[in-house]
Amino acid sequence: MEYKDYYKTLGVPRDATKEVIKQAYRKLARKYHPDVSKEPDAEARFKEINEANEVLKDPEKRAAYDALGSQWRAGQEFRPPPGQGGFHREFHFSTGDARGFSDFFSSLFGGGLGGFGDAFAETRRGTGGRREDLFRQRGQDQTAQVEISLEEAYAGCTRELRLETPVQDAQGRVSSQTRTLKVRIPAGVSQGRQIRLASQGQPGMGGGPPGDIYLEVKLRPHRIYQTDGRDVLLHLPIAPWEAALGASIQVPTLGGAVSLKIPAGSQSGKRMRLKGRGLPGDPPGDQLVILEIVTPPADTEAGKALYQRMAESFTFNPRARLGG
Amino acid sequence: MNQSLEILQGMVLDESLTFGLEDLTQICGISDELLVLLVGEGLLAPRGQSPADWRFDGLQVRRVRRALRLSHDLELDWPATALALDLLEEIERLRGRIHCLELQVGRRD
Repeated sequence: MEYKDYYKTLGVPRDATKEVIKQAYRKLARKYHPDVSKEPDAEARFKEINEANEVLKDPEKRAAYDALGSQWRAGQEFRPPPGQGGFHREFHFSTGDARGFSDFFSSLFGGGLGGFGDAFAETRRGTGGRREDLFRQRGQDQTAQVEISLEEAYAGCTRELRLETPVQDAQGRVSSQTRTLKVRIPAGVSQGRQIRLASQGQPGMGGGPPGDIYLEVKLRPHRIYQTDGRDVLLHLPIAPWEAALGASIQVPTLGGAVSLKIPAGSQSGKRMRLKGRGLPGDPPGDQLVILEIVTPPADTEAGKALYQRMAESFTFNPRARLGG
Repeated sequence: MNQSLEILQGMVLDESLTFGLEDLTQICGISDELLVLLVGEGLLAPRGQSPADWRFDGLQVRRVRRALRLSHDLELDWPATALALDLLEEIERLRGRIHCLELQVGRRD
């Protein structure tokens, strides 16, 4: 396993005071917290910062970590010294929300209560709620993203997911196991919505119930449609004569083509609503059609003559609004 | 082996779901007292007058879980957590609105 330089992770010197460590942690936690940050690697960075803080804020854990010596470099191959694993049962973990600390961490301090406790057990204890038995803890919730096409969101689909789940042996050593789940994504799920799979998260400790899985749905960008919640947007190209004279046009929707009556005198940018033709739900979304007039190219003599006749026949200033 | 996998049916946490106090505390793994506190701090706005009548929609699950993470990880008190959540959601709403308007005026990035 790789050695972790916790001081480097928090950007503090090895002799930093508790206060300096706290400030550095808070600043980095605000920057990389996955609920706040737009950084692409926020989740991984936040885990590292959290792990470093868990060790450096606690005088006993910090002393044990410092005892490894300062000759180590981040990323260097590390094997715990013989007997090192023996002391980890003595450590008290102040946070139940370790969210899967590294092998390096669990080789030094164990992965037990701190590593895979319930994310909310500590919050419960810390806010005056029910006091939980430390040895009976609900398993940690897991979150994952699932990417589906808009057609799949419309009709519903089934997805196989592979999730990494940490498992712990009798000695407190942690390894990763891959679990495969088959999940039904119901019709009508829109971008960013979460699906809760009850009791499918990490196993509980000491007879505690398992956590849940939260699947966040991401819609793959579509070739012709965009979405806004359950509404579906389509830019519909039309010919100038269809816009000017009105027309009935076959318009694609996720549920199949429908006929749309374009009123005479329509302009580009006009929005029309096909009620209930968006993603299904209660209520279902609509399909918004935005007209886009496309002019045919004047690439033949006849075409040029036609445009010339139009120019001569119309008294039309498209820039009248500009005062020109 | 995969053929034998049972298909799991999840619960979509959206506006159409309605939870009472007990459902929400159970899903989020928090005590009734904490939920009452979160409502009192304005972090959640259920429909209904008394805790027994409170109704929360499915989106509140994400809000509670997010609030717990923010409060715990950033060591925020509840009023600060409520402010952070409101601002984060406002940013998300505005980003979504910008995205939608860009689509409507035909800008395709």
